[in-house]
Amino acid sequence: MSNSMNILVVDDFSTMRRIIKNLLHDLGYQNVSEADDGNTALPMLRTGKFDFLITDWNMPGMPGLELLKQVRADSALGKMPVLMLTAEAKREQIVEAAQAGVSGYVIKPFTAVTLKEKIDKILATQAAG
Amino acid sequence: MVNLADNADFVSRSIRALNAASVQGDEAVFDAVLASLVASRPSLGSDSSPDVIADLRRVTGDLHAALERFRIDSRLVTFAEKEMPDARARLEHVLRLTDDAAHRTMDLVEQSCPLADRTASAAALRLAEWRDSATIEPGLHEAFLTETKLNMEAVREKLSEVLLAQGYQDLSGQIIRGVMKLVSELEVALGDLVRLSGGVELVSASASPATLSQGFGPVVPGVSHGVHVDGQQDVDALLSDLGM
Repeated sequence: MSNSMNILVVDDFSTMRRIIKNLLHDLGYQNVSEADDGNTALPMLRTGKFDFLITDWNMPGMPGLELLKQVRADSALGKMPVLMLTAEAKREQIVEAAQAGVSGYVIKPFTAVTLKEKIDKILATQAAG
Repeated sequence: MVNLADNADFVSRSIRALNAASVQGDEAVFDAVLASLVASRPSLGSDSSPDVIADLRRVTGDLHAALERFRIDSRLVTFAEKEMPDARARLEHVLRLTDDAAHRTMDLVEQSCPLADRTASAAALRLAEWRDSATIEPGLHEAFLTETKLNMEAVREKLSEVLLAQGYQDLSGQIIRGVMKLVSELEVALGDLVRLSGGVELVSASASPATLSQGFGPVVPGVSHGVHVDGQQDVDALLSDLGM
């Protein structure tokens, strides 16, 4: 399922969405959709089409932490893997994200190798669970 | 004995000198001129009371402060009406420049990757044929080398354009420096205004402070407060401590 999984990338900067999308294509993930904040992402996620969520934190409208909390509170989406991909670097924020149930946390600027490692780790944990 | 006309001329010259010193903020000259005016007081007439001198000093002091405030107010009005919108526009321009340059760069990379892929695949094929010379066909090498030449020339051209697209850094850097200068000037003007109003010292504060939930944005050295992680290894160590 991993290479055919549907991934939603949420970031307010179109350049960053494009970078992530390109990297995901290089990793073999072809089914990638985009949203520019939590408010746009949530209705897309609720269609049930997506298997994996990659989100930024600091976005106008609904920030990534709130999106994560909404996903975890939703009975249909609650178990979805959520990878936070963000420049937010305060320790208390990472702790907050972990407590809110984030599946992985990648700090910007990031490398293609890190992105691959974190996605693979999340999918391995999910398969084992 | 000073006659009336000479006296009026002396007072008139003194007031002009006081005004000039006040506008220039030259306290030493102001005090000296005022002292000479006070010294000549007996010639102003016997009905001049000491209160008049005190009042004169107070009124000129107020005038000086008012002129100073007016000068700062005028600067602030210029900042608010012209320079702040300019600064916003300049920063928007920087955002646009960087956005365009990033997309242009990625366009070029996306166009170059298939050319490199095709060349690598063709090279692998030719290599296999070369190892097994029985299957080699005349003209294949020439076709491969011709395609390789064209592809690599195209990639080289696109790489040059990628390099050129980075020129946005120079342009945006200059614009940002201009905005930084404006911000410094505004800081000085606001500081002057607060000092003149007898208020407390300015404390740095943003109009809408960032919150943990909304996010603080990237770490800016010397500006960001709090304990930050230093790269992905720190994040992984922290999450590992938290049992993830």
